[in-house]
Amino acid sequence: MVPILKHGQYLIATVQAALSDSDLLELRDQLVAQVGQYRARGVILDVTALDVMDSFAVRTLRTLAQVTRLRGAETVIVGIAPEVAMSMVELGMTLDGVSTALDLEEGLAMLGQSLPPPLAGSRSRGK
Amino acid sequence: MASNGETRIAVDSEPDLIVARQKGRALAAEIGFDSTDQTLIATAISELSRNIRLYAKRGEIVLCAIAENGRRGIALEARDEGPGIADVTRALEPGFSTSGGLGLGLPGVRRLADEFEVVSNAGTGTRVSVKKWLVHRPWLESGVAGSALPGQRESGDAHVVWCQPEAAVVAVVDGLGHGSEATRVAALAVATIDAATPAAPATMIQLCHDRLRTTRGVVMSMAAFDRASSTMTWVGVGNVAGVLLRGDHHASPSEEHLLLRGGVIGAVLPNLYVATLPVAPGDTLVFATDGVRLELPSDLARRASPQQIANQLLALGGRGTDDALVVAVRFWGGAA
Repeated sequence: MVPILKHGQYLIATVQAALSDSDLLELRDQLVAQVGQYRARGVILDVTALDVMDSFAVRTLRTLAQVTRLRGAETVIVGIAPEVAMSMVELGMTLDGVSTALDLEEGLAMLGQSLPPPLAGSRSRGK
Repeated sequence: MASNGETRIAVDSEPDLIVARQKGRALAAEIGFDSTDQTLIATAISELSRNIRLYAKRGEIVLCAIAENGRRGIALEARDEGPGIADVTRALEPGFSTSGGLGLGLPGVRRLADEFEVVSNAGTGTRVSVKKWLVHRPWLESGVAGSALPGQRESGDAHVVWCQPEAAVVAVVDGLGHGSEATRVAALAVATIDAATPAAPATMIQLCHDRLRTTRGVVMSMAAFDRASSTMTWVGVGNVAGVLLRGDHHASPSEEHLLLRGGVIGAVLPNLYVATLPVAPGDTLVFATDGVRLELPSDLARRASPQQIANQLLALGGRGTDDALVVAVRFWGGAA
């Protein structure tokens, strides 16, 4: 339902269409599993195509972020559409504790800042 | 509009939630709600139909366009024959949930509703009714910004924004040359249009041409909006640029440009290219005389009001070498 790409140390999942509750849960579980499988340090979830962010979606994304963090990977939600963001605020729904960024590019930049480059340590030791 | 046609969506399985909220969004768009309100309404339907699934297993969502005292809106109702809500007051408190959710479902729906009612009795099921009204706004919203050539007291640019419940005419006129003679000729064109409305744009251009034969003439672009058919007909003679910016950011192409014909109304009238385009709520027409560069950041068109767009274009694009005038008109449509 939602393709998950491996990009370096990161997993990138891009929502393609409206998701049912079980699609959301499946996505959450797959991402949690793949963080372990690929030893990923970061997860980017692109929700540009998500039509609504209701209480179930918010709860699922919060859980995803918390669980992946416990597994050693930071999750960034990217691409929340302006009208979806507006609705979330109006309905009092927050993604507290979950990192968000404007788009994929910003999300990757955010993960890059929060993680040390993989070989930086060994290079500096070699000087 | 205001047909009392109800749309009923059975909520029996999980994919029904998506169907229900998509139908709700489509109806909200048809009524004239903007994209944020459409999303709010879709989100509310999602919450209501999930509650049906969680607590009653099955039920239905009923959607209806409503009209009352000249205002329009949408009514949503979630009906089920489940166990009912034992304590309605508590169910409406943020954070209260018996399903392990965030407890934001029902309180959130109440926050967005203008009218909200829950009727629930143990054993007979639950009915949640929500009404949301469309905030009234004119079907056509306009903004105008202009400046005279530095050193001139009067501008040779003039405009018409004529708006009636069913039709509207927008025109921007640039009198040839500068100063009082240009001003006089432009005013004559405007008076001719004012007297002729409502008429087809090509007819009005012809009338202006006949009336201005003894003058130095004008260039002009004109658009006529028809509310019922959601169409705009436009035509231009000379170099008053016109662009129609689509309000929907998924629209392709995102803008349409008026095809101008060279010529001078009052002197040399070319064969007219008259084009009719469908318009959707949120689309914005901008006319600008050649004292203005008609280049605007793409986001500006959707975020700013027509007056802000006109101000911004004049500020950004005024070349300071000619009179300058910008007229921006946003179509909101909807039934009269």
